[in-house]
Formats: sequence, structure tokens, C-alpha cells
Amino acid sequence: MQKSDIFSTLFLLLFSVYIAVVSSKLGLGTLGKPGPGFFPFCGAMLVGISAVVILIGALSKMTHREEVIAQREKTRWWSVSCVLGVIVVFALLLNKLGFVLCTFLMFIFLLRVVMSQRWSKTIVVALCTTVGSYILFEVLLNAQLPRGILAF
Amino acid sequence: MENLHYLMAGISLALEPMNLLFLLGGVSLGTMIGVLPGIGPAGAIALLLPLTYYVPPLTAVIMIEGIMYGAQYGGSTTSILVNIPGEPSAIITCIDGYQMARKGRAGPALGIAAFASYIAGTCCLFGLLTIAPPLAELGLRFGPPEHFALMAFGLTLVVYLARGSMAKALMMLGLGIIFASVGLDPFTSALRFTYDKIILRDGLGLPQVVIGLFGLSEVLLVVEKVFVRTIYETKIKGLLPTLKDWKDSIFPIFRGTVIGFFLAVIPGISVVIPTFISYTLEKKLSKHPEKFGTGVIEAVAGPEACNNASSAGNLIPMLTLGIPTGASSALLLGALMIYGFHPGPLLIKESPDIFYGLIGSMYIGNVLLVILNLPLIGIWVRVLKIPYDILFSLIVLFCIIGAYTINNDAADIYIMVSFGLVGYLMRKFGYEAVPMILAVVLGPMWERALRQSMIIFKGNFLIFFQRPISAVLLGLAILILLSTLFTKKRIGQTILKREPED
Repeated sequence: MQKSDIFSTLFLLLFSVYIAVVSSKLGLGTLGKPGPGFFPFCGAMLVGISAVVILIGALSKMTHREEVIAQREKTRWWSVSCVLGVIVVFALLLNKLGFVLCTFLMFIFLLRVVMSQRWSKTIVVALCTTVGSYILFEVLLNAQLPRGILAF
Repeated sequence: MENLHYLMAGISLALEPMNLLFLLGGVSLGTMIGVLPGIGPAGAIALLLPLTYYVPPLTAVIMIEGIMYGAQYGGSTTSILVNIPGEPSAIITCIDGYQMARKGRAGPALGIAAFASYIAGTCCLFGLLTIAPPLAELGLRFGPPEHFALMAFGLTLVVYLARGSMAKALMMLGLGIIFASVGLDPFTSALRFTYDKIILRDGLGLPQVVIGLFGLSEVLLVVEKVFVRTIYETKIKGLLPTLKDWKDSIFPIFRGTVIGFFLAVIPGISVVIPTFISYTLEKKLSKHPEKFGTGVIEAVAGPEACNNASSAGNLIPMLTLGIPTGASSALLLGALMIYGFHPGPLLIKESPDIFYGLIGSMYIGNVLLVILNLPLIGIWVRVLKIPYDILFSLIVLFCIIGAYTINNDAADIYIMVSFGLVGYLMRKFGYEAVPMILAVVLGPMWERALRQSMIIFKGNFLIFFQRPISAVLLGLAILILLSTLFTKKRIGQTILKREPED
């Protein structure tokens, strides 16, 4: 049992308690007439009970000092949050800047900052993919993506 | 004979120019996705779902199914050539396929993989035609308690067959149930977990969730590591297996087909597990089991036939009972529902053109795939050489556009990105996505069946055990769960252990 397991399980346990509380407020109903909160309550119970089982198992093993040392691999949290962040920013700016500009800026960011490519390659690839995706989605598939400040 | 007549009609439907074009597009895309790691058929189908609004239902279904079995062909190519399974269902092919390639027999390995898939795909059509209609008849007798029990049985199997801890899989199942209940309650119209957000009223939306879980999270898993990739230059020559190869492979192919097809009919068994069973069986039956792992052709032929047969078998519960067996078939089901069809026992009777057209297209699709994968193998090898930085940036863009175009609403991008993060963390901490996604998919149906049965039978829980079909299914589910209390070992666990995280 690894430490990260205990944290993730604890988190899910708290989450299930929260869902159970909200579900019972929604109304569990009776057995003959279940309310809207009944089904999510069952789901929360499933999560909660399993979490307790895992935690008990983990704690009893801890006393035996059988902790498995996790393979420490360096995780580039920075890159992961960058990718997640750029998507959120894309969604925020999509209606203002338009699809074409957003796509271009996103590619610049992803290739230069996350994948650390050279500027020359970044710009060429960003231009090509932006034009390519514009042709694919706007012209061929007529996807009606927001135009934003650029007129097309 | 009547079936054959319907099959011919189905084939001629599939040969209509529009359908043929989309079928070709579907199988090519499927092969490409199979070859490329980082995005699987589920993610790809979710991305393409908005596109299907513009074409007739049969065309859309044909394309989606084409992606599903096309990916099985493509997945084996990378397993054999570079020892990287493009799809989880081709993991087992790596073992002997790659060894064959190292011995200079990449050609026959690729050849037998394609032919095995073709033979399996063709055989399974007849399986589908014979089994599906009577099963649909049986499905007509299912009431809410039986539906509830069937889904409970399927989900229990998924949890039981989970690779990691069963408690974790159960947790994911519960989490899926919670996610499935977001939105308007169909019985009372109460709003559940919507937090005054309009976008959440219709629920989380399967495509957004799947794009996040199976598309974006894969990208995140790759960018977190400094990725180094080596490309092996393998000369491929002589794609046609020799007579001896055929003699060694033909029975494994048929056994693989039977295993794959019939196991896949059980809801909850995906395409991965049958391939492991097929490999183990061939090893047991072989006269020279010690040679397995050094590049024997039957170890490629059996599992490859098996994964293709499974993707056909997976259609049975979906088309006859309306129960999807995985994320991809759930999306196929979703597409049918968008068009106003009711996948379930009545589908074959009410819309035979969809059912037989789809099956007919699978025959044509398999022929196309043999052509695409044997003479044109060079193209797919070249696809492998697309630089990863460009590839992954493109996948990010497709995920965003795919989510956005579902409702033309930027809020769907937030749902997608949230599930991308959830999926990433799940894999990081050893939770499996499959129980969760199946619970998300089946959740609304499961809830309806449960609440309907409870209302009809006035809260009498015993009803589930008084009706024979539901009693047997629930009994089996409980037995499966209890068995783990007494024996620490789960059946199949030993084989599954060998499967690395996909």
C-alpha cells in the first residue's frame, strides 16, 4: 500500500460523504417510491464502503511495515498543468478571439513552452496546423466555430 | 438461408457510394488510431460524434463500427514492428509478433495477423446473424428487474476482472454512478448536482467525458515524461505466410474466433481479456509450449483472430439488449439514440436496414482492411514517424474542438478538461477507467430499471430473486463477489498480471 493510495482513498471517502449528504437532501424517498437522491446515494455508499475497506487494509498492513517503495519517476507536473491550463484559457478566449487565433496561440504555447521546440519550427508548425484545421473544420466540415475578432 | 438473403441485402446497402466512402474513412481512421499510441478508438469515436449529425444514421453507424475493428488491425501492426501495442487488445501480440519481426519474419507476422482478423471477422458475421435475432426475442421478455440484474451482472464482471484492486474498481463504479446522476432526474424532474449551471442540466454528456478520459488524459500521461522514442527500421518482405505457417495457424485462428466471439457476448468483457485467454490456450495445446515467446506464428494468429471476433461479439448485447460492453460501443449506442432509434430487442424488427446494413458493412470493411493493411503497410509504418510533439498538440486541438462542437458551447470544453484531469490522476494512482465509464454509460438505464422495478413491485426487493432470469443473473453476480472473500486469487488474475498499464 503506497502513501498516494491512502491520500487518494481518503479524498474519495470525503467526496462520497459529501455526495451522500447532498443526495439525502435531494430526497431518498421510500423503497416503494425512491426519490431523486436514491441512486447517487447508492453510488456514494459504494465509494465510501470500498474506501473504508481499503483504508482498514492499508492501516493493518502499515503496522507490519510492508510498505512498498514506489518507483520514483520524475513527473513533470509543470507540463501537465500547462496543457490543462492552456485548454482552459482556450475555452475562455474562444468566443472573444475566435477559433483561428486561439488555435495558433495554443500551438505556439504547446510547442514552444511544453514541448520546448525551436522558435522556427514552432511558428512553421503552428501556421500549418492552424491553416489545416481551419480548412478541415470550417471549410470541409462546416463546423461553425466562433470567428471572434478576426473576420473569418 | 433467410439469413443469407438478409446478409446480401445488407452488403448491397453497405456498397452504396456514400456508405462505402464513410466505411473506407472509418476503417482507415481506425487503422491509423490503432497504429498511433495516445488515442484509442473510444476517444476517436467521441471526437467524431458531432460529425455524424450530418450523415444518415446507417452511414454514421457503419463508420463508427469501422473505426472499432479497424483499430484492431492497426494495433497489431505496431505490436509486431516496434513492440508497442497501439491498442490494449494487441498487447499479447507483442510477445511473439515482435520476436518474429526480430527474426526477419515481420512480413508473415503482419500477414497472418491481417488474415486471422479477416477470417475471424467473416466467421463472426454468421455468428451475429444466427445469435442476435433469437437473443432479441429473449430480450423482449425482459422487464425492469431483468434489465437491472443483467447490468448488475455485467458491472460485477467488470469489477471482478479489474487488473488492480477490486475495492478500487468498486470505488470507480460508485463514482461512475454519481457522475451518471448529474442532471435532471427523469422521474421527478428534480435537478441533481447541477449547481445552477445550465450546461449540467442535461447531465455531463458521454462524448465530453469520453474525450477527456480516453483522449486528453493519454496526452497528459505522455507529456509528463520526457519521451524518448526509437524507430526501428525493419525491412518487411514476403507478407504472405507460407503453407507451414497456415498449417500452424489455422486451428488457433478458429479457436481464437470462437473464444473471442462468445466471451465478448457477455457484457463486461472487453476485447482485451479474450486475447489473453486465447494465448494461454494455444500455449497449453501446443506441442512445443516452450517456444512461445520466441516468435511462433500461432501465438500471433490466435489472439489476433480473437480481438477481431470480440469486437464483433461486443455488438450482440448492444444491438439485442441495448447494453453496451465498452466505451466505444456505448458511443455507437449513443449515436443510434441521437437518431431516435431504440437499441434493444426491437431494433432488428423495427429497423432491419440498420442491423443488416451494419453487418454487411463489416464484411466489406474486413476486405478493405486486408487491402489497407497488407499492400499499403508502408503507409502505416510512416504514420508512426509523425513527431510526437506535433501529434500530441493536434490531439489536444481535436479534443477541444470535439468537445466544443457537441453543443457549440465552450462550457463543454471545461467538462472535457476536468475529465482529462480525472482520467490522468486515476491512471497515476492506479484506478481503472473502464468500470467508471461503463457506470456512467449504464447509470441512467440502471437507475431507471431499478426505480421502475421498485415502484412496480412496491419496494419489494425480493422480486429480483423471484423472477428466474434476474435471480440467476444476480445470484451469479453475488457468487462472483463472494468468491473473492474465500479465495484470494481471482480467476484470470494471473494472466492479467502480465498486462502492463495501458
